[in-house]
Amino acid sequence: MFRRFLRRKDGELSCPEVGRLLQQYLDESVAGPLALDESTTVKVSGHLADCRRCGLEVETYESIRAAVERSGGGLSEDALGRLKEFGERLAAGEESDLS
Amino acid sequence: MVGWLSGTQGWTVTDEVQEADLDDGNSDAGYGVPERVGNLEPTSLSAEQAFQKYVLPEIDVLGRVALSLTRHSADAEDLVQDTLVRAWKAIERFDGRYPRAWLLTIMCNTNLNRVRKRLPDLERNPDEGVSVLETAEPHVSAEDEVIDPVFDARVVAALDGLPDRFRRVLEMVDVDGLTYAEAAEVLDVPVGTVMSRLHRARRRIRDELVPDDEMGEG
Repeated sequence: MFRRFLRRKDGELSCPEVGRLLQQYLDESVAGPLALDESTTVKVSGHLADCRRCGLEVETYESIRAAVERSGGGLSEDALGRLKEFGERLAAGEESDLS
Repeated sequence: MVGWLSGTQGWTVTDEVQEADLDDGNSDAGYGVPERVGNLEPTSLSAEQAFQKYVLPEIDVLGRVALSLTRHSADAEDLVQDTLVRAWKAIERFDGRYPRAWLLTIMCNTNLNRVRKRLPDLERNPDEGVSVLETAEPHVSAEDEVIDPVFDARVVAALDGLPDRFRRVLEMVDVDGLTYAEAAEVLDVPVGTVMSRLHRARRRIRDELVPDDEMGEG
């Protein structure tokens, strides 16, 4: 990885540069006009292919995004309604099923 | 967004609450002290009031984390219900600080117990049972074995800890699938602001999950 810092070839991106571009890189499909241009995308891809540190970083962001996506919506309104009613009954001492 | 820590100061549940039997004309609940709205003095709440104040508002969050933990909505609903029962039983021992953290701890313990209860079922097939008992992570099945429920729960907790303006833009883009431009329109902010908030939101979650020194080797 340090080679990326110290002996970059012309046009190669350093780790800090890639770090700043990483999220835009991952958001290619939603960033619209703020998406990276093609040549920058290629440079980031090239860097990620052989830099372990940045590769791990991109994996972390991908995992976070997937987890956020899975968390979306939560339970249905019906389920939440039932749970809130259940909680109200508990608090009111009306819920006998406390096994 | 008003942080969930607000409003917890000075809260206590003590035995004397039960003796403060005020005639508030609402005897169904059987608990004494009415909530003193706007009272800046430390107040004691009945178990019912404490539950309503600190537990019921967290049901949405509990539902989301439960869904992350169980991956199935029916299981998640059961898990939240069991968590509510345990929280109710423990409410008088709760000191009123960090209700969300308290509830998430209860939920994680409840989930572990639920997973353990299910394990004996596996022994009906002894060939599979032993290996599963020895190696299984909670609720990891063949099709979703790459999903780590603990990781998901931490992400959800970090997500819910974000300031509203960050969380909303993150959910719009990463959950609802909006583009930067669409989110900008909904929020009525420049698209650059959307990008900046989005990146900061993810960065904050990432920083909570992965300390910098773990990423520094290479």
